[in-house]
Amino acid sequence: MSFLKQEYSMFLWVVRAELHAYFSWLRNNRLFAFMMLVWPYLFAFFMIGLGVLLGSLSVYAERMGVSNPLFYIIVASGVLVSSLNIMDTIVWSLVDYKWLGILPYIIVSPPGFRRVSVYGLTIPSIISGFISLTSILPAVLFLEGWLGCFKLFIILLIVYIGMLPLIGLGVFLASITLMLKEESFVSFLSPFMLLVSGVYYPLSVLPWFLRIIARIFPVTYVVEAVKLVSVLGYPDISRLLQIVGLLFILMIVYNLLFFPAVKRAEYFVKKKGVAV
Amino acid sequence: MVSDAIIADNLWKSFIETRGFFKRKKSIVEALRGVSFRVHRGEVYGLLGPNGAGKTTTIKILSTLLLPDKGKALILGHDVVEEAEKVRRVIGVSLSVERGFFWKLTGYENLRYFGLLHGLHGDVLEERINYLFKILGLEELGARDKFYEDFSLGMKARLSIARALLHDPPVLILDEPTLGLDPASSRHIRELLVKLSREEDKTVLITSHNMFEVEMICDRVGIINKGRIIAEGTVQELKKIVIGSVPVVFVFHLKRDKSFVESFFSEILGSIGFVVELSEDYYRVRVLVRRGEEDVIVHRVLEKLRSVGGRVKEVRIEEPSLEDVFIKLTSGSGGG
Ligand SMILES: Nc1ncnc2c1ncn2[C@@H]1O[C@H](COP(=O)(O)OP(=O)(O)OP(=O)(O)O)[C@@H](O)[C@H]1O
Ligand SMILES: [Mg+2]
Repeated sequence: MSFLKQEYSMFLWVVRAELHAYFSWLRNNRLFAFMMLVWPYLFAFFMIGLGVLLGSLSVYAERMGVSNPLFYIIVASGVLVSSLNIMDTIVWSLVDYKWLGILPYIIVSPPGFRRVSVYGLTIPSIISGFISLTSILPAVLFLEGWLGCFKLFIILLIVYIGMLPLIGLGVFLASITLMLKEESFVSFLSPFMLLVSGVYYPLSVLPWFLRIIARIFPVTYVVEAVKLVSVLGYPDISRLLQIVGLLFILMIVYNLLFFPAVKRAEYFVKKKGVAV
Repeated sequence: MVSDAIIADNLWKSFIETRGFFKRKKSIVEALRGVSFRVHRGEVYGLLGPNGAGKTTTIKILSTLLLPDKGKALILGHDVVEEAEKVRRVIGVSLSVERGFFWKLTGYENLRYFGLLHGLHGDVLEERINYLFKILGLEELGARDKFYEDFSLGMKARLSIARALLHDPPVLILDEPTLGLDPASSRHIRELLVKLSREEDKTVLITSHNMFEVEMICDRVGIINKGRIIAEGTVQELKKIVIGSVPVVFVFHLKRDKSFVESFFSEILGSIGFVVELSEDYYRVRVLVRRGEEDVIVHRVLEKLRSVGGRVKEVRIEEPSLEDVFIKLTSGSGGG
């Protein structure tokens, strides 16, 4: 019991600290905060432009199997941007801490490396996911009214469920970057995620090996759920539940992978003296 | 009852460096080769040594950031490897003073982050931050609302020490807290450290390669060179090592590089110890001469210097200092 109590207070400490740092940072970087809000729209306009160039929106809707293509593209862009933000936030935070020289002070703080990398990085990713998704609220209201808002709420829930394995994956990748002593490869992650998520085109256009990768990538399922939700009227609930189940399985697998990875990363950092 | 706040017992650490992309070359750097020393409670202890001596490595091991290959270290009775979490609660750490904070956050916001991470919040945290800003002189410097990226080095160092003091730990472990600071900032930090040790009974371990500073504030000093402690004691005790020797300082201008000057002097002086420093066009060479031999040595050096075109500005005889202890211990004849 006292163990749980201690764990809970450490959780609070980390959450308070990271919330403070995140909001102070946003306040001091208003341009970035503004970009976070318009980013999904930029993505959506880009895709719509491309879509109209290659054929009409209705052809696109048919090909993707969605009923309201405009609604779908905007929501999917929101989902994609928030997922990219989540991954970026998690992976870059640890690398940032290393570059800034903050890592050693995190290691010697009472919550320590592992708690800060897991609890700490969850906070900004929840917020950035939330900000990206709520930024499309006006557009959703305009296109589908209150039903659209309700759907957006469901989608936010799905994104958060989809985030659980993403956190595992992100911390796992961040741990690996610390051990590799080389962090720039992280920049390739976002374009790669874009490629295999199947947001703007059906997955069937991908070569087989990318399709396999896509299948173990949580964002793919989130996107599929978004497609389901963005049909007119009631979505296919049983498939939706199936997807949620799959995301939970992925969460368990990734988190089983990442706990040992974070532990090893910490040991590695302390043994080799990198990053401190 | 443990009277020693810090115990380092036979610490060894080597690093493996790999280089090259296709042909991986491995080289081993032995950073520590059996470092042992003890710091008493409430004492200011200085770990003094040249670049690469192993000071930072020792500091990192003691602050649980690095695992030793061999040996043991205790802080207030807690093992730094086995009981790292306990150690972390009783130490305040400052590594390199010029980084370690968020660039886009103000001094206040930065300190608040680390305070929250230590479980402080509300009024307690506000008061603590105000107090630390005051005693470190950060308030006058306007550090509260300035972004860290706009800080001067002196402000960065002060903020780093403020962070180490946030949770009011009984033991402070500071790596070169005054490196590169102007005299005002260095003095402020030195006075504060002495005050913390005298008035609040804090144990302070600092590293430095500034002999003057160590001589001024440290109750005891350990001299570290090439991964080993080669002498330890109070400044007075250490100075006994150089009884019977006289430091002679030559200040001159010469259009040759430092390594030339070093080999030039070792050729003239044989096993007599010396150090070469270069500052603003002038070389400053400190030679530790046996009492009674000053004249002979001065004469010989001046003659040779003239023959290679050196312009001598000053020759003076000084009082023995810690620097001479260091010269004596690391020169060919001394050491051991
Ligand atoms: N992570 C590392 N990987 C490889 N070698 C290292 C590492 N850290 C330190 N070393 C080496 O270990 C030796 C001791 O380094 P250390 O940083 O402890 O010296 P120092 O006394 O702090 O010197 P300085 O006055 O320059 O700070 C040096 O030769 C250094 O190059
Ligand atoms: Mg050092």
